[in-house]
Amino acid sequence: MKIIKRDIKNLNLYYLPNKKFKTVEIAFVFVNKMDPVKINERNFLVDILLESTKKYNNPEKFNLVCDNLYGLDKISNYHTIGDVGLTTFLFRTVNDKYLNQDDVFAKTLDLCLEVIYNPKIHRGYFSKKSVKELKVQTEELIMSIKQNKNSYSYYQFMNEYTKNNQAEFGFFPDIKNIDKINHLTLSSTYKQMVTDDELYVFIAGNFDFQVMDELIAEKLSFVIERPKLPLDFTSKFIPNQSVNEVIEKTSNGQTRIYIGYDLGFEHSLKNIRLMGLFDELFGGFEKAKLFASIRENLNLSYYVYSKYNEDSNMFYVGLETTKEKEAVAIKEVEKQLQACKMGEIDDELFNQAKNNIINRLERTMDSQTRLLLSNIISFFKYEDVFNLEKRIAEIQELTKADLIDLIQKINVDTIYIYTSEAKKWKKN
Amino acid sequence: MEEKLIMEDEAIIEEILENGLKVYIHPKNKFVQSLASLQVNFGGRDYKYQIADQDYTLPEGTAHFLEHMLFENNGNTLSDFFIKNNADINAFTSRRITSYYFSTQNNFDALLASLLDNFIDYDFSEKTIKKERNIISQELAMSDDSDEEKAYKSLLRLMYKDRSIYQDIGGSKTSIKSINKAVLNQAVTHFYHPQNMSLLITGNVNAIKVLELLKNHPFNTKKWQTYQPIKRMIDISDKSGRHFKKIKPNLDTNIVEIGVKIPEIVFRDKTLEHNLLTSPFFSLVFGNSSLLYRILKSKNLYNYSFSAAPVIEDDYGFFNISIETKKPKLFIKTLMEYLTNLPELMLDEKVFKAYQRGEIGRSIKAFDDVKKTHYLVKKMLMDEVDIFSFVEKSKSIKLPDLQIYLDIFKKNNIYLVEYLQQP
Repeated sequence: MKIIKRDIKNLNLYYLPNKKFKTVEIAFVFVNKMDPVKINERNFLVDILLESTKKYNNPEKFNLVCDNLYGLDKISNYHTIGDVGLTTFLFRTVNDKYLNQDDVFAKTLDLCLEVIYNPKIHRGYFSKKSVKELKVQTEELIMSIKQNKNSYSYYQFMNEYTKNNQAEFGFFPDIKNIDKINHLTLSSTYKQMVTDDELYVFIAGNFDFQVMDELIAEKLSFVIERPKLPLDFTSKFIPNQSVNEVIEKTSNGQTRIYIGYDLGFEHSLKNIRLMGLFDELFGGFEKAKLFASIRENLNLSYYVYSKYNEDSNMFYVGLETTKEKEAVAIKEVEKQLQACKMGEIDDELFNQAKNNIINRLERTMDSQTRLLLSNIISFFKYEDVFNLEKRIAEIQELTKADLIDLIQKINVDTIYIYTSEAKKWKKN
Repeated sequence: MEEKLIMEDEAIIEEILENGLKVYIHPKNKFVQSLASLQVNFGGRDYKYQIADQDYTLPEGTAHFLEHMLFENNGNTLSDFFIKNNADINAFTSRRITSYYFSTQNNFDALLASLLDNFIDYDFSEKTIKKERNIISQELAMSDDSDEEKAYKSLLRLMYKDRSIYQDIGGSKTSIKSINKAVLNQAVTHFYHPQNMSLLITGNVNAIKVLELLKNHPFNTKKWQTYQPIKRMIDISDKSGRHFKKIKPNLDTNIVEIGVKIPEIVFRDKTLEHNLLTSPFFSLVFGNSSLLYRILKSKNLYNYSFSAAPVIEDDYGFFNISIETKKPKLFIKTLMEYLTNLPELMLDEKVFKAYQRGEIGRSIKAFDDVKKTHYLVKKMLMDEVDIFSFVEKSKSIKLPDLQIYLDIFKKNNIYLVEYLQQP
């Protein structure tokens, strides 16, 4: 897939032509320097804007117009990488070529612009009522997270794991700032988004460039150029000085264990690729180290996995076991990590992990939405397109020696145990 | 080989092999992946059944246990060959079926042959049975502290007498203790017959080659014993009450589950295709364009946990509404008023037309994704929906066809479960 820059006025407009799919997808990405105290507002915005607009001023009217556009899909989110915040609105519609109508995309574009630039506000402000509604919903969401023990234990773990980094990672909901949100803060964040953020527009699918250029030039003529922001996508994880062990004993079910690691290496592209490979062979599939030992050999757990987040450069292991077996399970995770550090990674597992990653990359080509999103991330982070051949070559070039060298720098940072009673656990 | 259109540009080849296996091949050659899933009509409900008027029983959880065991059949680990070929393989057991499925970019034919190799003869070792019992015990314990699941189960128990509707698909720690070699052999003999299975293939495949492979495979050429159809019995009547309330000290928020039973006479009416009709009905009555959505929003009762969905099995069906809320009393009062007034509601033609237009787009988009297509067709097969007429029938639904469901919203048909925080 190519990303083609179009020179239409001052727009950051890019086309991703693709004849494989029957849809056209358009993404509006607002880029800002992440403001840690505005995490709630940014997340509220992506919800409230997709609820109604000035013209379609209640959810019924808004959903009706979406259904009339052949079930228009709307995806919105606020995502942070390093010190960058990306507010994305993605709309997915059926290509006119597959409908008995030739203006569905044009109407979709009108609706996208209505959603983003003509929200239901009065004299520049969202209503107090709608903001209160969202606050109530978020408070109820927090209660639901607490009630669901998997979500709760993960949320608690992440709070511990990122306790020195709360401002950098922008988790939602940000409970400590929830009371500060009101119609004024939400409205000013919205204004900031549409006037100060850099806007990028990406359009993917099978369409005529000239026709699209004309349409965009006509509909987005009001967008003005903004100064380019200095963006830093690297993670600056601040580890604990010593292992942070937290045991919470309010569970009335099985024990959930999370182990978070400090990756003491540079957040560079090569290290990201190596760590992705390690994640796969350590806890990514059923022949991986953890699954083979903890589930298959020792039957300690139904599931065990590792997870590397390349945006935040954080890595953790999660598992669930009985309270009697929690110490054995934690010990075994550590044993397997040490074995890997000692080079106990056989060639079959190493190559299999590479193949798994390559396969997943190839499968990206089967979804236009995934392709578009991968391209957007690649574009911002690496100023490059998502190039499958290049990505595969990067994986194939990784060596076991480099991987073993890298993982020497991994150390346990946080151990969070959600259990039913206080268990004295000794670290080896 | 018969190729039939399910919609424009989308054709499925349907074939029944000599051994009785129903095969559906849906070529989508512009995609990288191919997917296959083998469905066995053996699920969590099948612990009591009849064959040729003789009663049989199995320990609860046998279908799910067998699903685990099929990955270690005849001393081989099924997934080894798949992993070596960079394919993903997995399985699940539902109340009605067990499904074994894989996806791959390469070597599809060899992988399909390998999957079927596993369903010809069966030999399970005691060691593996013991190992899987341990793993399944862990799996069963995973939902021990899920109050949401307990509340939902309570609703099912309230609405139905029959254990097969509300018991855990995986059985219990006690029931799986009695699963042994003899039990597993009984299960494969009765249920793992090609005539009691179906195979769905979607993706980048050559249908002629695949059919050739299937016809020559020992799974087809083996001399199978004559299939003895399984007869299942179910009692879809309720117990006595329609309301269950539980005060729990450790709850963080309140859980409300509401069930509206589709009466037996309506459910069993062969002229009604519930899998077709309940989706538009739900969209009109419970969706984001509905009156209910507006009411819940105006009273600040709507939140992210609200869900409303039809539950349509082949032997029972109901409508389920649930929420986790700080205001259970007001939510219940509002919902009850709305539900009991539904028989008087005029369904909105404008909303219905928009929904139908939306459905055209949603179908095109679903078939534009190889995985989604596979799951969609699989669901239709599982629901025993005629995949070849589904799209056309969906288009021809008229608003009055949905009226029948409005009439079932009567007090004696509505069931309520409350899990409330200790005041």
